[in-house]
Amino acid sequence: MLGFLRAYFSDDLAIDLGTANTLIYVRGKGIVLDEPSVVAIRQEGGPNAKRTIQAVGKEAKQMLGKAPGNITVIRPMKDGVIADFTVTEQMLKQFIKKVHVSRLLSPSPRIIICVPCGSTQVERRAIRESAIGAGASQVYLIEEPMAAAIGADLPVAEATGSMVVDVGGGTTEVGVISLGGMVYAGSVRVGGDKFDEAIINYIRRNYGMLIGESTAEMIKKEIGSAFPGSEVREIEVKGRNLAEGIPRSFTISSNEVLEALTEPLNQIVSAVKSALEQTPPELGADIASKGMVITGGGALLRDLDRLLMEETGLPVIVAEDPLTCVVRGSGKALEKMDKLGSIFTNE
Amino acid sequence: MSDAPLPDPADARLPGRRLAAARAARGLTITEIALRLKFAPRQIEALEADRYDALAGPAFVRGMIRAYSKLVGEDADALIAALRASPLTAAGPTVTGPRAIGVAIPRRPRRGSMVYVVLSALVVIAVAGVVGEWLLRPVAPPKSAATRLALPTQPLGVAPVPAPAAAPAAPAAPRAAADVAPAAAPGPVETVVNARRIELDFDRESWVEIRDAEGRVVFSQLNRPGTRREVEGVAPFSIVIGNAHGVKLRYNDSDVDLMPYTRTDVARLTLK
Repeated sequence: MLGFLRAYFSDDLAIDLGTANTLIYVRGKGIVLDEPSVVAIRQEGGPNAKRTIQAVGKEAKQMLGKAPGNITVIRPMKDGVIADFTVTEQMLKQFIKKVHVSRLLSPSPRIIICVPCGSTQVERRAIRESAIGAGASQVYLIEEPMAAAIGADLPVAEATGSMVVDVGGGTTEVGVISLGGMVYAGSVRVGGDKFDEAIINYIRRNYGMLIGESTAEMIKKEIGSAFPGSEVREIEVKGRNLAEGIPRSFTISSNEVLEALTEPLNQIVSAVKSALEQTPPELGADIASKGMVITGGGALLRDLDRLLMEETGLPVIVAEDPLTCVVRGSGKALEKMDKLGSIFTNE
Repeated sequence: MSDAPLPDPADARLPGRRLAAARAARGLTITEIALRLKFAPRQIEALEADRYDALAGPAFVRGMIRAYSKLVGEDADALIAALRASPLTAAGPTVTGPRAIGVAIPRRPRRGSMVYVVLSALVVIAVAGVVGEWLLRPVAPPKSAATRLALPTQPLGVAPVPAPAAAPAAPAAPRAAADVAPAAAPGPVETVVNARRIELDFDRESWVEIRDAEGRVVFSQLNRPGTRREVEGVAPFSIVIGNAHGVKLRYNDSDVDLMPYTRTDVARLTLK
């Protein structure tokens, strides 16, 4: 009843609490924060030994793999869900503090937060409670494929099937949406992190070199591809030689990266095929005509759309600005939160 | 979108025309493009003709343009910008819930709870009835007054009681009352209070007990010689006097001889 008053005084937030990045959308302002989901914690010594937060976000990510013994750099989200509850809560609190101006009269914000559709009730409850602990007055959960579809401007409310594949940092979510609800939702715990891990393992196995997560991510972004193309690119990489124990440099090609990524990519293809198998035929016909939409940071992997196209024989479209689709969708839901009860998930 | 003006076939700025030109420059056919992009040839034709209403929606049109431009080596961002500038572009779908009549389905109470509701209502009604009855009942006059009103007027004097035994005297009283009642019944109920006075003079020490019409003890004590007592109450009285030879009894200013009622020095009599 007093929603208009609350809307006037409070900055409600939509949060994409991702494994790799956390994005925050503020009502009426748009996306105001895009930071890596990384926290650096300093363990102090001496008589007043305590743990303090050294940095969060971009600053903390720069410390990843370079921190001394008394600083632990943590990625508190793993596979799309909370791996370290306390640190996640603190990270959220810091991010909210950055974007939500605390005024005398402003009430605590209401928060829409995205959850993977494959997450368990316990994992959802942990996300809800960490948001409440970070200062939310109320928390609403929205499943990531639904948010991604809204963010990609798909006609989610119409009686037509829309398929969205959200390749995130920790999970890949596949959803088929019609009439404002999820007809099918599937999730595999494969995403950008698994790609990095696959590249690290490939280089260790084939080159006998050890590289860090940041380097693996850089290789993936620079020359990673999901489908063999006519152009072969190369990049020079530095790492520690396992046999000699000293840093060396070597060159790796895009075809080798493709070989490294084969296994996690196959899991994504399987998830998409499984979704298509279980989609009702009427909606499947709509998808065959319109195509499926890829969102999430994984959609930026070169030729991922081509891979899915060739594997499924269906048109595949990469959404505009795929990295922010989920938070934009959550933001759109936030703007009309009071009228869109059906798109939120219950626990 | 169907209301939008038809595109000028010569307008080469439209994204579809530019894509078609790029395809032709590369010597590709619509069928080859459709095979690569997995869209139907009619969809590719619609895109090249900038007939966007034949396609799935704005998001899909932009996606198709991006995929197509990548294939033929065109600048996707420039084509998307041209698309946005064209008058044929429709706004994207607004975020709404599915269209609904909006009538909330009432929550039907379960049968079990309905039974409890009915039972509770009955209990409440019953309790309310009892309380109302208790609060609204007429205030009854004191019982003693009622007794007094009911009592018929009695002639003054002592009713003769058979001398030998006091025991039969007790049943005699109700009988006498019963005899009187029919006589009084036809007439109006008299409101005279049937109060009587008993005077006792003691020459010797004596114990006396007097009960009134309702059987209540109105006087019961040991009396010293030379004392005098007066007792008032509602007749008939049932009297027991110990050491009766030393007691003089007056009833409504008339002497009562105790001798006929005395046995082994204890007098038992009823005064009407």
